[in-house]
Amino acid sequence: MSDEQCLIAADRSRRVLIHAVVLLDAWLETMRGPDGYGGPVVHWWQDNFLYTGVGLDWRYEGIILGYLNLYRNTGDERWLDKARRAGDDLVRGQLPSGNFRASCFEANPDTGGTPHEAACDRALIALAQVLRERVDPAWEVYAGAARRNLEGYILRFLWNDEGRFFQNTPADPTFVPNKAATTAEALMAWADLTGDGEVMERYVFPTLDRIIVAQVRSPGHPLDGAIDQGVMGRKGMGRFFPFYIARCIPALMEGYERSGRVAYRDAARAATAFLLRYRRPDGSFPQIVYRSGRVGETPRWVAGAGDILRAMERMRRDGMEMNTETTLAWLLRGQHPHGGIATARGFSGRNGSHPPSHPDFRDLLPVCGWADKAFRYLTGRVCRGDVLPEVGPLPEVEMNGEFRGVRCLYRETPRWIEVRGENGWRYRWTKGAPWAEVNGRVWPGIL
Amino acid sequence: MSTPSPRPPGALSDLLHRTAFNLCAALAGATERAYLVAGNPFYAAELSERLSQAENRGKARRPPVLVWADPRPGAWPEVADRLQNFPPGGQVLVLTAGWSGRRWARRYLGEGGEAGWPLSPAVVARRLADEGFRVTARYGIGGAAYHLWEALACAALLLRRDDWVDSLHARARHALVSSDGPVEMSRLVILVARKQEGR
Repeated sequence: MSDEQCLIAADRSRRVLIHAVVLLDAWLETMRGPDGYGGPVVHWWQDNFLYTGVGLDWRYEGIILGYLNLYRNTGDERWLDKARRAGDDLVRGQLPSGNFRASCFEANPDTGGTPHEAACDRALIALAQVLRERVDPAWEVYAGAARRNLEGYILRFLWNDEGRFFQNTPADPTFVPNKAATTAEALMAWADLTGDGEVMERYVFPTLDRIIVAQVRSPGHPLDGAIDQGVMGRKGMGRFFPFYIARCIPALMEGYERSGRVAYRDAARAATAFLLRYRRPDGSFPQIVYRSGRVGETPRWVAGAGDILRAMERMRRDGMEMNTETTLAWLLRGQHPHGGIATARGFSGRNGSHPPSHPDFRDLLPVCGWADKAFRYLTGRVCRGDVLPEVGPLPEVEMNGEFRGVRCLYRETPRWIEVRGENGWRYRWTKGAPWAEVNGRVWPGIL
Repeated sequence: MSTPSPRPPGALSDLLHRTAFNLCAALAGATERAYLVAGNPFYAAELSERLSQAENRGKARRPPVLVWADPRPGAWPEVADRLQNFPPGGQVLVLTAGWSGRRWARRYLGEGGEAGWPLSPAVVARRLADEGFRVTARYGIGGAAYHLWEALACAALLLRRDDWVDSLHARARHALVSSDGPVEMSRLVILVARKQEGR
């Protein structure tokens, strides 16, 4: 390509990216109810189609940080307003204990979710930082909410002082690296905001050290660089999820920048190399790699690939050579005309059913807590000078799908999501309502 | 009506109960008023929290709903009293232990059990029929298929096939709720009954 062709192609890809961002923002607006962002949840561990009210969980990490990206990169106050509005959801939804209500994502409306509450803290602290830079006294409200959660729950109930690590839950002493990494990120942001360097020595560095212990280091081995999903005592689970491994990388790099400890950087590079080894030609990543070497290919995250891209981008800035474009294309291909981004591909393959002729309903369904990851990444690529246009009314989306081998029709409008079978609707959520509607006989798996 | 949960934060209720509570709340839907009668404080806290979220949202007026969770015999007069005032179309949701749930409880809590075991689905259905309510839907949570897949997952664990374990757990979760067949055999059962016209 000539220089001119390159410029045209680059301009076109920027326009595609900006269009994706404004559409996704518009779709997120449709997912807001009276208390914040809601909607059904699909996940590898379990789905939650019934509770559809606000979830003060990790969706707020990507949403707030995404809007802050847009504000920083464009200077447009409307994006800061949206970040503040999301921060207000968290402040309003904070319990006297410091916890956030409905913070367990797939297990909502339970509270005390990990890494969800730490992810909310991370976002609140970033918002407070921006407001403080603007000499806006409201920053203290958001910083105060994060402090109440960090002190009242995370440091009080999750920190295992004897083992010097963050537990999975107050009752489960498993060390889960990706969750601990999110907590470490929140604490590093807290240290920046308050100048409290003690949290680094006391909590952050021991946490990052422990993540390194959970990493496979065996040069030449296919699992080299992989970080175990969980470690109980000294025993690893033997499950390696590329998505969760990617969520460890930014914390390791931030730890390296603050401490100069090369071990953190080496661990991040090895983890990235693992991700790249397992990346598929279409830019996607398998769901899980087992200790035995067996690979669980599906479901492959689409919107969630935003967090993997963010990690890859971080390492590219550190000098690792890699192509992120195929994964970006994988993510963007998942965007529906109404702006929501498909959650995954291949959910039905997980249950051992035959290859479906249509995508699984769970693949198609956009979920706030996955779309936020795409939003955070894509907004990070918006540059100064980019103009983000207003979008018109969002179109209705109607797609053929399957659920448990039964054909269905997935329909979404700005006001509701519906799944129709041959005999009428089987699942319906009126956006903003805290609970989905249930119609007659159970469709196994949806309920 | 929300009362604080007795569980500390981060201590999740088990999947079966969480699903049952969520299904009760979804079935109750957006109603002007949901009444709750619960036989134990755990159910009371979990359900009141969920039901309170559906209230006062400015939705269209719908017939009242009573959720009777862990139905103890001693609570029947209170329930019957409330149901008498329900208009036709009024709904009652009953969350109780099914056959395997009662068997499980006897095994772990002893044959005598505590005073006032929850009423079985069949007994509740008969009492509701006497009050003019007809059962319109039944849901079983944790039925035979769920337990079969979970048992196979345990076997896979012994064989050290983590991939099979995950796949079988996923199948178990898909089979968690059923509305067909002998749902009364499940660990937990939800009955939905509506008041008939002319009663």
